[in-house]
Amino acid sequence: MNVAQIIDRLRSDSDFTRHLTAWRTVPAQPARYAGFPEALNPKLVQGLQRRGIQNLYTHQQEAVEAALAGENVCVVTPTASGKTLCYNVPVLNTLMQEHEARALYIFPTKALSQDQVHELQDTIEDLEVKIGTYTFDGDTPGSARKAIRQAGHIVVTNPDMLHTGILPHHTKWLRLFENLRYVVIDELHHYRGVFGSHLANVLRRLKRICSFYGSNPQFICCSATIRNPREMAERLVEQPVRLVDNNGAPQGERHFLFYNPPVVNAELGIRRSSVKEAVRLARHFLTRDVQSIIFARSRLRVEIIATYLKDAVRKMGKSENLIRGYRGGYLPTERRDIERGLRDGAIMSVVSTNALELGIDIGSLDACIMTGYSGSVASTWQQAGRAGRRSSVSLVVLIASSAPLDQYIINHPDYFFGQPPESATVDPNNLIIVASHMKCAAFEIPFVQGEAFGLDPVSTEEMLDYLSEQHVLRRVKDKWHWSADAYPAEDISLRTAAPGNVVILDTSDHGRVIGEVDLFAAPVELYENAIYMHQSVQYTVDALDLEDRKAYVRPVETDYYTDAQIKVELKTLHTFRQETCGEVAKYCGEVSVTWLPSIYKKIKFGTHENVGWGEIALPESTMHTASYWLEFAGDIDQRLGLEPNELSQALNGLANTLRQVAPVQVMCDISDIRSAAMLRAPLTQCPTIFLYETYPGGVGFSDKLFTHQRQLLEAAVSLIAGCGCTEGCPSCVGPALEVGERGKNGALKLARIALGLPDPQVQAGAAPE
Amino acid sequence: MSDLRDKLQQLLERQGVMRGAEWRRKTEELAQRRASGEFEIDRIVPGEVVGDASEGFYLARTDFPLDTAHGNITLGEALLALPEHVALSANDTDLRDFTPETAIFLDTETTGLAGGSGTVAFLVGAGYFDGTSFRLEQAFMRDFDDEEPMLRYLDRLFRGRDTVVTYNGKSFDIPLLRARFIQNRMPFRLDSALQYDLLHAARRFWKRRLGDCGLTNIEREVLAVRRHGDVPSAEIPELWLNYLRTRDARALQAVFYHHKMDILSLAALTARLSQSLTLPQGLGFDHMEDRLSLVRLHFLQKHYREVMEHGQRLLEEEAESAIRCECLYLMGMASKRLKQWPQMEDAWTQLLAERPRDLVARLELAKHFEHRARNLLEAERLCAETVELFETRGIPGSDEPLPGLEGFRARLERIQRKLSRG
Repeated sequence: MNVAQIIDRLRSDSDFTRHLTAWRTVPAQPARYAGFPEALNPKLVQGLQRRGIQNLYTHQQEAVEAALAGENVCVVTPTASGKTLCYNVPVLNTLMQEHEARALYIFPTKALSQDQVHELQDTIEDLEVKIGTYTFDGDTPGSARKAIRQAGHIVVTNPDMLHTGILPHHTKWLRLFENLRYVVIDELHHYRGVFGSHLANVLRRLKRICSFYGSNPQFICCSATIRNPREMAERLVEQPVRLVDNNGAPQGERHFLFYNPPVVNAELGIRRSSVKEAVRLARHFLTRDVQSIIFARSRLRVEIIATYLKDAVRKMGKSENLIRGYRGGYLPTERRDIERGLRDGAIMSVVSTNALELGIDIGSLDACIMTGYSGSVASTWQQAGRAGRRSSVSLVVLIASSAPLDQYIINHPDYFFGQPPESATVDPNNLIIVASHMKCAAFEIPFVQGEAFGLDPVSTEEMLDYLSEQHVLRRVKDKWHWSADAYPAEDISLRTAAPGNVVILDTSDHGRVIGEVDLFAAPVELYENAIYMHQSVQYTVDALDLEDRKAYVRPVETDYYTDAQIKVELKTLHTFRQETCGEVAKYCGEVSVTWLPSIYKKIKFGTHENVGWGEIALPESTMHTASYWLEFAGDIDQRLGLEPNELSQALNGLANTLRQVAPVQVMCDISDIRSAAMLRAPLTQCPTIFLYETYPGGVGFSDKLFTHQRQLLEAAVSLIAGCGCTEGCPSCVGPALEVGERGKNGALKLARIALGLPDPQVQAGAAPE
Repeated sequence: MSDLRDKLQQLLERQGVMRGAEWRRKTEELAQRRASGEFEIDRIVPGEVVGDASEGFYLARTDFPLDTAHGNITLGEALLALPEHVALSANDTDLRDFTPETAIFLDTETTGLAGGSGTVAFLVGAGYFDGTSFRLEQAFMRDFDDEEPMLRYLDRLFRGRDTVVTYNGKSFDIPLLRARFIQNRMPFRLDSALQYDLLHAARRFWKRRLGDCGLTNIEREVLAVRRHGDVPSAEIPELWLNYLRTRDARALQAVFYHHKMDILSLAALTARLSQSLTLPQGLGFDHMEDRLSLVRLHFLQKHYREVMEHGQRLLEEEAESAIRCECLYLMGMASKRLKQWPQMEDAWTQLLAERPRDLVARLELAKHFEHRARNLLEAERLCAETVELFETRGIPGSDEPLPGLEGFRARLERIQRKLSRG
């Protein structure tokens, strides 16, 4: 049975269609071709033709021509549109002409690098030229490293390895840096927030070293569809970049369905499990021999879904090898195996985390099921792109969970389909990040007076002098030298949300690391005697060592969970921008946040009874960061007819909701932002809601929130108003237990006031006039 | 009452407790003396500034007469080191033309042991023979801007040196110096010199007996050198960085001493290794382990005749069983390569007498009896014995049958077939 028949079946199944909130059809797009640019080496063209590439698509041709003309390029096209050719063609063309030329490829993960090298090596073999292509990462054996440094024409690596293993040893990479012609950055959209801000600085260091050796490489970037690819590319490489987005790859007709599982408990706002719904649908596909990919948001869910499906095929009397799980950390051979299995039909379903969202080539499938919203429009389209053959019909189903963001998206299909995807954010000049990389840069090559590193020369000098006062650098005449007995790159991680994560060690299992949380979350989740949940196993915390960044836990079985009472104090330090919009004022600036954990409560599962409490003996912690805040008038409670505690509940409810919908506007993770509500903010004494960033100094999210306040509030209003619960639930403002009985209603009123909308009840009361 | 006060005062003084004012006065005085340049390097370590006020570095030069003792050897003895011994101990035939007169003995002290482009060699020492003496030049950076003139000087010093002798220089000092020259946009002359890394040589001879092959340990055990006023290597980076901040070079005296001793030991070790190899039959090595190391080294270099010769001598001595066994193993393999069958049979038989469960000896011997000596009965006996020995006992502590046992079984059957045909 083919996909078109499945689609007909589903259309006539009213039990299924009843729960759909959208059924959109994306029409087929024919291929648009353009010839090979004339400047290309004929040998290269012949080689590509031997590999079955007779023509370039329009976007490939434009990218290749621009790159050959010396421009920086950013290619933005959907999954499986042949973007690797956009950089491989100009790179190979140059390397075939100049044997000493070099290229550096940067991928966000090791797995991607491995795949890329295999593909490149095959192409090069067909060309019958000698171009050495190697991955250089943590797995590269010591014996091979020297050869790669000398003879690697194309070195494939990741930002972390570039940061700790290549740049600090640039004298060993002389040949590479003297002859570097191209830097390829694939999966550009991945480098947002903290990671991207770090990468921008790693690239500053790279360019600095290149200029020391007299080279000036060109950048070729590839990105999935985001709203601001060119801006992102230009902020990362800090040079003008040409955008190429005229996708010429063909695409079959695609059906995109939004499915909201039925409510099973209206009071608590609980819906039928998205996992079970996904399994049901996937089983349906299996019985009809439709190949599918199922995305789930955690490793655990992947396991659960794969187990269910294996059971199901066994009952059908088929081999359970038809089902494969896929998570991060798979070896290239295993991935090859899955690819081959999908091609020859030995595998019918792949269950995956977002590891497959990145550009690993598993070919195209008939159907895609997403268990829960991935968190952003951009990555949802990425995942959807996994289904869709070039010439036949494909099917994508998004199944919502009860999470607020899922509920917002599933109930607002127009928002999803009508909006361009989110814009990605980086702030390369976050002071902590830029200072960290200045240390690394000084270690690599001493700074000379007048040099600018991201900042202007005067600020650069100011920072360098500051680092000298810390005895990390030493100024001698007009130069700053690294002057500490340490290796700076080692202490700077590009990926952590906060400097220094707390690792969680299971003492019952020889101190095995079971996970990590950022430093600021540790006092909230890992205080002594806390119950910490990891992959549905409960652990109790025996000790939290904030200095060594370690938490010691052991598994236990209890019928309660713990909930910390954290006193959060917020002080505004600076206001960068402010604006009054009707009844409210919005701000963006710098704040100092202080947490003081006080006590924790033990709460019984199911009944939510309070079954005990304990004190948390932890020091308070303070952080300076960027924040966006929304301020209401001091008399708002009287005008809305709310008691102070009701106003407090309303503020909390709205703060929760705003935090949940923030990713709708800003491409960020829910853990990148926290919220706080204050009945009387210090100084102004006005009711205020803060959304602050969890990375010290912030990486640009608050600025985006300030700019997009309207959309943010609109999303909050429609989420709250559209939620079927009566008094608030985890899918909107938070459970009524937490925000109080009038929290939901109050939050809605506040949001409407902030938007300048009339309050329905006030309006009703004022009608006689 | 006043007695009590005096007593307390006395007690406090004896414990070295200093009162606030006194402490402050002393700190200020120290700061003043430092600022006046009283503890600058030129007051602490004898030497001279090379260059002028705007650009230069500090150089300590010492000439050691050739008869200067370093432990149980004199420096001049290094001039007698024979090239073939250097090549043998380095396991590197490129060094067969080694001449001590054109070699340079090199060591560096750096700002970090982890390496990387930001690690600086603040003290670079080069020793070389200069007619009547062994000259040691220790070039020192008074601050980061001394590096360029220092490297220019070293560049001239390295001219004409065809071999560089170091301790772990292959993986540490040489790459680090190369990085410094690249950073200062200068060619690195030592790239065209041959390398004699004594760490590798020391490991070949002494690892088995001494374990720790750090220079200080080798120096103490092999050269009987005693250091006085040394400083641990790990503390050295911090001492220089402190000096930059305080301009107080007193702690660096120990660093210069440490560095000097390291380089003198390079020359002394070169001499000692060659002497040990010079004495007939390896008698220069008075420990059985060292002599076994020599046999092993000859084996690695495919000098099979020397293996037999030195091995035979070793067996005549009272050596412990493990040493005898390894020696017999090497001799068995060497005589096989030399096709000296009687000697080979002898070596394997002796090895089996010493260690009956040695499977290699059993296999080699079985092959020998079956195919070369044509002694099928002996071959059958050996195979049957082996099968029985390992079948009943297997690998100690394991239920697994011994790998290779199947081969013996097959061999036994084949021999028995031959015998029955026979």
